[in-house]
Amino acid sequence: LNWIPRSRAGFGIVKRAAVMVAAVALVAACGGTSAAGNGNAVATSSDQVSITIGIPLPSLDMPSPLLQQFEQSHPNIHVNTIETTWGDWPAKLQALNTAGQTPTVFMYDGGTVQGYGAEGLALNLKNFIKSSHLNQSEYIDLNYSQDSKGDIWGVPQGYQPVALAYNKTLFDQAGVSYPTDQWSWSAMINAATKLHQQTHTCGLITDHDITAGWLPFMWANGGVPFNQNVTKADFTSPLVEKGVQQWESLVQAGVICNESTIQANQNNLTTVFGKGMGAMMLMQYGQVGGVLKNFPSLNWDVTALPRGVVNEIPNIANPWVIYKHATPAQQRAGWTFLQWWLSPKTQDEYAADGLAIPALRSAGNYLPSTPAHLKQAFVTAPAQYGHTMYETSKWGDWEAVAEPIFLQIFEGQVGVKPGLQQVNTAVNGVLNGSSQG
Amino acid sequence: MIRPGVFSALRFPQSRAARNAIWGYGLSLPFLIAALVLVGVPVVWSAYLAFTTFDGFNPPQWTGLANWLQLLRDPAALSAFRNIAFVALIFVPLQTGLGLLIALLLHQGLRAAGLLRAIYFLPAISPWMAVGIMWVALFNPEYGVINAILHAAHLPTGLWLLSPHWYVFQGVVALANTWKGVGYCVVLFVAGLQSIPNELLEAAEVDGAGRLRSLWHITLPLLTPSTFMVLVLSTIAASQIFDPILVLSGGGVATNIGGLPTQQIVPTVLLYGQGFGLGHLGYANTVAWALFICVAALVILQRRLEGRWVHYER
Repeated sequence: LNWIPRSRAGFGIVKRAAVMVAAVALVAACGGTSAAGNGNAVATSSDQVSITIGIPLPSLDMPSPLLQQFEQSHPNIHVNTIETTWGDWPAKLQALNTAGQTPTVFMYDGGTVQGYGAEGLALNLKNFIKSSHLNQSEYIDLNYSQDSKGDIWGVPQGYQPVALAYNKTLFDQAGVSYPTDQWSWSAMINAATKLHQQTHTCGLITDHDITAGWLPFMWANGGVPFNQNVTKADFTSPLVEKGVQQWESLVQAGVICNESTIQANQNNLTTVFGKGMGAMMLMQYGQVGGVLKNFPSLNWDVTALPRGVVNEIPNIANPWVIYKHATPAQQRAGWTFLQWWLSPKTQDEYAADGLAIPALRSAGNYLPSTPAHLKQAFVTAPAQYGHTMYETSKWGDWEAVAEPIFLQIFEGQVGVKPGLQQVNTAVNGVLNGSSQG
Repeated sequence: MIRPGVFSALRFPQSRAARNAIWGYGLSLPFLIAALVLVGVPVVWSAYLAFTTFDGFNPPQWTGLANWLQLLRDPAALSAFRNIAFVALIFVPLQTGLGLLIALLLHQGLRAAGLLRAIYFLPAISPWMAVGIMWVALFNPEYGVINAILHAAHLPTGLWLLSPHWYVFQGVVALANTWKGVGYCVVLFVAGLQSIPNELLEAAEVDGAGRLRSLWHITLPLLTPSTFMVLVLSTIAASQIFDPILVLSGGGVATNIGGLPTQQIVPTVLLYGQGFGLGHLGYANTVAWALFICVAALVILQRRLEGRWVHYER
């Protein structure tokens, strides 16, 4: 402790120094946060512009060779990235926005994008698309994020259709023929029941959410839960109830893997499938890579999702959005990025990554070659039967009130009829504006 | 040109007390400013937002008591507050009682007391994500150890975390939280035990008091300040339960879209889901303030009752 001055004058110097250090530290800390934290800061040169791209993983491999290529081909645009897991992305985006650091371009679930438009977060891309050289007919659906007024709030980053994955080994054990793209819904259910009885595994793995869970069962049984404009829900119609009843009965019978099996595998459906605990799975395209990577020796394939009365396959696009309050220079740079994303070379390379079905039809030729019938299951069939998920600006809100109740139905905690009545009341409350969701 | 009087006016006061006060305020000023900016402003802003609709993207719109009325009608909110009250009713006394019991055992002069204390403290420093997976595995209805033991003992098994009854899920949450937090209580109680003067216990022994009588009439009364602190901290900890719910419920639904089944939801998860999942930041702040009011009322009640049973050495 020799550094402590013994005289009163010396002690005063230490005190003054301490105050100054503390004050400087405080000012420096406050200043550093605002200056360094602004991811949208535009570079000083008028020709240079910095943009931030928000990426919920695993929609891109990070660090992304594709983004590096973009920067190399567009030296005047500097790209920063912000990424987090898919589930954490809404919270991350909210926090970034509150901090004034909303990414210039970002992507998320197709269902939520029209909501971003209604909230004044997304830029209307209608005029950008109209004045561009993009040929609409070459793409699956460039206007996927168009709302009822004709405004377009994003362009597709990639599609995530649902197909039927099947474990060949378990089919062989049970003596059941492999599924084909001509299978009916009832053929799939009968096979699942037989596979369950013969192999003592689940016959089918489904999620408890809309895309690969309850909606395909509703459609297969003729149930349509919304009117045409998605302004009114009817989850209590007999055909909707029939579909959900079929789903729930199969869970209770052990034909569909129950929540306890899913929980035992860290809530990862592809792990349940990869371990051979289920013979078939309603699989979104983005899950294929996980099975290939983590279970390389699994003997499996995919086919088109069987259809029932409503002859449709769930297909959702996850769009890129441009932040409405970015500077005009950043908005232009963001649109440049989206045009580059939709260009044939980029789409071909993105197709080869196997993370999503690319928006450009011709890029489907560059998809991975395994499993064997991947293209037929995830491109050809959805092109013919693909259907969106009733996306509107209120999608996120009605989904939020519906999903917990569907989870309870899936877990057998609530009966189908009372559960659907609850869903109906809650969803209509959101749609007619009497509840926030 | 600087006049000489300027410096003389800036000179520090001559009295020692005044000088000390200036230095005291001066040195603490940066931290006071930091507290004001980082705590005071957000608290006031949050209180304002509780009376608005605010999506984080557009300016807040004043809606008066609408959020508060919605809170009283919202089944998810009512379930959330019911659930957390139930968890607190189990967790607070159980953690306090168990912590006290373990501390008393460790205070008996055991050879491995230090090692045992470390073992009891281990769960407290383990991340919830890791221990949560263990609890999920233990209570899995088909593959879990708990049901396997019950089955072997010919006792009825349960659905536990998948049960349709809210009190079963929340009961498991209370147990898991007790297991994780009891180490802290043990440390606090051991510190309290070590501060009890040995002379008192020796005097009681000389006067013929047995160990049980000494425990009841000397140790426990002198431990009441520690017990009070543990009770207050446990009450606050119960209100802040968040990650155990996410882990034990599977979590995905809450973080993706802001919803959990009503038997699983608690106020912190509700406000997180509403605020950051759905962008209903106004309503989320209302939930936060409602929770704060409840906890503050409980702590004030505990403080009011403190004088009746807590004995401080004078």
